[in-house]
Amino acid sequence: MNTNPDKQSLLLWLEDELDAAGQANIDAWAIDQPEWLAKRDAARAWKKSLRAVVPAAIEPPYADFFQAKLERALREPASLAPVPASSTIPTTPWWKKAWMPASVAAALVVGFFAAELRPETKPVQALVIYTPEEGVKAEFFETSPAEGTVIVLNGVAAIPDDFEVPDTASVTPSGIYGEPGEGSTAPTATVLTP
Amino acid sequence: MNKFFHRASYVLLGPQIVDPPAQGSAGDEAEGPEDHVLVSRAQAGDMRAYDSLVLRHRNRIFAMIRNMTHNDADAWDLSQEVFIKAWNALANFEAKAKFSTWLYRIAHNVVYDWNRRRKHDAAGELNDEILENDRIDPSAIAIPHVGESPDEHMAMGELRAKIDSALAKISPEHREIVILKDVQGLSYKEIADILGCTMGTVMSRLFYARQKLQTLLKDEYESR
Repeated sequence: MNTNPDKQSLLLWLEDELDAAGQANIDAWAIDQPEWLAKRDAARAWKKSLRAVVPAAIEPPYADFFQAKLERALREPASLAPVPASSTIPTTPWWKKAWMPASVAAALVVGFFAAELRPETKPVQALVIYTPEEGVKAEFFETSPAEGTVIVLNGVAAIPDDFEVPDTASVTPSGIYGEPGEGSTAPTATVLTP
Repeated sequence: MNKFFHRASYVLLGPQIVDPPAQGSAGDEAEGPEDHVLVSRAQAGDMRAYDSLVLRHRNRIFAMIRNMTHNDADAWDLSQEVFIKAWNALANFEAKAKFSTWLYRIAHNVVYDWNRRRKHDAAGELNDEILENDRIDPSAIAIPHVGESPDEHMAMGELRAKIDSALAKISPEHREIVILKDVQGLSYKEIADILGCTMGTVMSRLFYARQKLQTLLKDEYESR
């Protein structure tokens, strides 16, 4: 061999990975290349010494148990039998593929206009009402235009005629407690019992 | 060998090292149908065929993983994982590559995930990749854990212990390439297929891995 071999071929030759013809070619070239022959000998010696101490094959400890456990795992429903890849991937007809971009675009346009035309709504907050007695059912109404809130309690015992509703304190804008009906601007609530 | 002797020999001598077959043969127990015949049968759902494939390849897969992890228990579990994953993906296996190469690829992924989990669990642990060759002190006290009992360590022999120790010091990527090339005897092309990179990358990585390993071993001898 008159010409120098390329680098990749040389590296493959060093590892004895070339086919017989390739190996023979570079062998012929290497006769006058003692440094490359030395490199190949060193690579062979390195591998030989490493393989002598680091095993390439080791039987797993408790090999019978290894096999039995594996078989049990393979028989579990999740890994029953190999399923060919082609049967797991549903095929889409060509005409569906062709319409797919158009339908996505149409959906985007409809979604945009629907969002534009939709009246503004206030987010609904979850409301929990605790009632003082068992069997009392509470209903909650909220009217946006009037900004009013009504809670109806069904099942509350009738209020006796002689029951006096105690006066309730309210907060005035100035922060001073005052009597209801004396210029108070605090919101008032009405409880209706049907 | 009955179970008692098997267990006793394991306790006394450690894992049983099996003489590997000549390079290029199908696997550890090359008798019987060839791999591609067994693979076809297994793909049709024949579990006995798959069982034969496992028996044929498990010793090499276990050795590869054990040499990577330096721990029998982890290697045992990870080998199981490899063969379960291989079974689940068997339908997708095409006979373009050798079955053994495909198994090594799965083993590579399993060990890679294991390493990542371990790194995550031990965040902040020293990474040898950040060290330069000349900054590694082989006589340092903080030698990476090799996960072996003193009995096993002694039975392995001094040279094996030194090589194991040196292998544990290099990065998992370098360790893997040395194991696949120099211990398992795979070709550059096969390793490139397993790692999913080019042959050039394999060649370059192997060069640096060997250099690093030889430096560590040389320093270790000189320091004594």
